[in-house]
Amino acid sequence: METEPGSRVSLRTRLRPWLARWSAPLRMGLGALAVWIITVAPVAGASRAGIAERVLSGLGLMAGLAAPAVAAREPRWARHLGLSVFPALALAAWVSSSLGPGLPRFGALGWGLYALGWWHPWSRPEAEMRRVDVRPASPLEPRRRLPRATFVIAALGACSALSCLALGWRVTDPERAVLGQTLAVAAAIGLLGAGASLALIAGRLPEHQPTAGRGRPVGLPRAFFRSLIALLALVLAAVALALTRR
Amino acid sequence: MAPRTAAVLLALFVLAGVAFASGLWALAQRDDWMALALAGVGALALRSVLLGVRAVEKGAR
Repeated sequence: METEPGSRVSLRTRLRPWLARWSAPLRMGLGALAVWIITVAPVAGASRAGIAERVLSGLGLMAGLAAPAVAAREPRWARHLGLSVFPALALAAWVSSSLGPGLPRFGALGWGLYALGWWHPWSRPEAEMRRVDVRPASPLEPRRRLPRATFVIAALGACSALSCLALGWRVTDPERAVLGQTLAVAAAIGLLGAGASLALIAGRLPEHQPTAGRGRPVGLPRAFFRSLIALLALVLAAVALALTRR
Repeated sequence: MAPRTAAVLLALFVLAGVAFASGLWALAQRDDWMALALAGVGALALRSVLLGVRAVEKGAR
């Protein structure tokens, strides 16, 4: 980018192309380094460590760091190095040594973070992922971003399901505990399923929205309204029950 | 999906979640009848949501 002499270019503007180019490899490399330090370095650095363990650990680190470096040019090689060779060498070094009791837990956490570092298709920059090539004649729909409502509804379903599961443990009375757990699990499954279905239909493209002919929206069935009437009756019964307790 | 239908289904979904949570709370307080009533409210609200979703899905086909 050329600028006139004397004009100030902010640090953010200068860093942006660099970040767009290197953010994904940097993330993957840091993930590999972190997981190597947490799980493999103690093996290689132990006083009882043999030469084989040290060689395996060193080769593993080289594979883990080389993968992000070649990811943009050689995606297939990067995938083999980062997702096959690196974990295999780390595992080989790991199983050939005795581990401390706390290491597996931190190791699981580290490998989870490493997996998250590889989630992005590194061969495509972030800005390119947002651009969608829309071709009306194409038989397949292009990949697109889902509306925010979809995530909100799905998150709402997951949170309410988790709340029910947590509340099930509040029932400490032995006579009611099993019933409480059953109700909590059933409610969680139902809420998750209904939330996912709602999120899916909320995320439809406008041209795929169902209509009942002539552009009219789809009406709800009679069974829905019958269910609503029963629901209203039960709500009134619950309110009456609450009022009579006072 | 029409905005009004979406709002109704979402409200019923929230009602189902609140009713189930309150039912479990009532069960923890040994209030069996209230727990039963609230679990019923939750189940009926969830059934209404699923009926509505199915109707919208059927309309799409």
